[in-house]
Formats: sequence, C-alpha cells, structure tokens
Amino acid sequence: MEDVIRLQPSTTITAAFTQKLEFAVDLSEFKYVTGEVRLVALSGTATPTLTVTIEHAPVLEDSAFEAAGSFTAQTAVGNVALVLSNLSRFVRWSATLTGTTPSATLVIDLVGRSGEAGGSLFIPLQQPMLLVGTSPVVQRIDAAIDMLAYRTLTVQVRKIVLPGTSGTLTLQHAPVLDEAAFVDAATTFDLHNAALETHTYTDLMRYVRWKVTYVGSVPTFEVNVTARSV
Amino acid sequence: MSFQYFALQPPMALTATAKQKLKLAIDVLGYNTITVQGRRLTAGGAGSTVILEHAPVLEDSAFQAIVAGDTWDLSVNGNLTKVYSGTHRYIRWNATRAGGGVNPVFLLDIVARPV
Repeated sequence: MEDVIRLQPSTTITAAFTQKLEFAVDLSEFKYVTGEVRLVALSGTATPTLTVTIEHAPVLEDSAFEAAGSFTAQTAVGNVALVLSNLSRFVRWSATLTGTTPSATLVIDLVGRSGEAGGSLFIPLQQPMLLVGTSPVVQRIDAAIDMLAYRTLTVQVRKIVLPGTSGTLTLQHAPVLDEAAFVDAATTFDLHNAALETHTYTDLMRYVRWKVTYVGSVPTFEVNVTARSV
Repeated sequence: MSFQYFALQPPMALTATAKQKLKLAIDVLGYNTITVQGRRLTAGGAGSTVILEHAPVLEDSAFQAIVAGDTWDLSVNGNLTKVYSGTHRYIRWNATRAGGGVNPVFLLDIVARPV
C-alpha cells in the first residue's frame, strides 16, 4: 500500500498557522511517510523564515495533536523534505512564519508507504551517456522513474569518462512529476573518482531522476537502480 | 515470495586468487536481506580472504564489495555469519590466496528473505 497525499494545496499564509482539524488526513495505513514543503513564494523584510511542522494524533481532537517532526527552516523559495515513520493516525501541519510583514505561499505533499514485502525491480535509470548541456544538467522529467511502490533503492553509478576537473551526481526526488517539485537527496556520487560507487536510499518520494554538476570536460556515466518495497 | 536457500559455493579449495564465475553469481533481486554463512573448513595461508561482491548487472566491471573490507579470514577455521540488506541484484565471491601453507577450503551458504 502506498499513495501520494496532498496535505495542503497551494496556500498563502502571513502569520503562524495551524491546519484546521477538518483537513487533517488519516495515514494509519502507512508506516513510512516522506513529506515535502514546496515554498513557491516568500516575501517580507527582516529575513522572513518559514518552518513547517508535521503534527499527529490518534484521535481527531485539537488537544491530541503533537509535533512529529519539523522541516528545515526556509528563508528562500525552494523545496525541503522530511522523513517520518510510525506516525499516529491523523496528520496535519502547522507553521511558524517570522520576519516583518511576511508572506509565504506553499504546497505540502506526503508520500506514504506501508513497507510491506512486495515487489522488487531492476531499473537502468541512465544508460551510458555523454552529457549534453551546460552544468548543471538534470535528467529530462519524462525519464524520471516512478518509485512509489519501492521504499529502498540501491543505486550504482559507473563512471565511464571522468569530468575534466570535478563532478557530482545527485539523485533528485519529488512527490509529483513537476520540475519545480524536485529536491536533492542527501548523498551524492563523486564523478571524478573512477571507482564504482553504490549508495542506498530509503523513503525517497515518488519520482527519481539525476542531476549532474561538473567542471572541465564532459563526463560519461551509467546509473542502475535495484528497488525493493521494504 | 518466501525465503530461499542458495549454496553460493560448495566446499572448494582455493589454490589461487580468483573470483566466482559470472554464470555462477546468484540473483537476489526478489530478496531484501541475505544471511550469509562462511564455513572455513581448512585454514590456509595468512592473508587469504574471501569477500562478497554485488552488481546491478551481470558484468565483471559492475561488481564491487558489498561492504569494503568485510571479509572472511581464510587463515582460520570456523563458521562466521554476516547479514546484508538492500544489495544489488547479483552476488558472487572474490577470494584472495596469500601466504604459503595449505590451500584454504571454504564454502558459502545464503538464506535470502524478502523483508
């Protein structure tokens, strides 16, 4: 069992905020939840800062909600992700917004997975290719892979031609197939080191693609993914 | 899918440094956790080791250690079990024959589980 839930469609807030009880969502089916805040506009003076918190409760009563985790504070437009597990039944969000006359427009999505034993899959995310374009280069959005059913990704990068000076490959993930929704995963691959490199990722959001930054001549590489539901 | 037992390597004497042949690598795509027992039946020369490698595709150049340096020391006797999760699809062994003395004899058994 897995799903993408829009906890908050685009909304603008100008002060601290707590989502109304009637809009809380029932996540009891999901053991693992990865959330994303997409901050699409932020204005104000004195460094406006948005911090979104996910709250949870076993019953649908205001007094039952408590914080489960907070996203990284945001002082600029961009996306942040947060991984949570073993939440209680109902989930809502709250936020603090500091600064002078602040205004923030945001969207919040959640990706839920039960983590039950299920399928596994091998996916060549990228066949050997010579990059085209100026650094940074991101994989075309229509080549992103849908990993909703898979909780654990074991990713190997083979460096076929090294970049002239330096290079990094970063996985990006998003809850929806929208250029603006992708956020970098934390662990990166060093394209200037010829050694095979494998990293394991858990609880990425639904869509996964690569981003490459490089200095000097253009690198060639291959990316293979082994995906499992647990 | 339930668990699966693999005799990755029946008892063999390691006479020289070698890697398991590609066609003998096992496919664990359907399994998340592998519990690997290495049985050192005859202790060999100092520095002899065996390590497990994994790869997403069945090509020599794609194989790398599951965990760098996580070897079975073949210069001693005894059984030793290691557990790995989230490996790539294919698994094989890579052994180093070092030191003098007798050839080490070992076997590798794997129990693979989907969770």
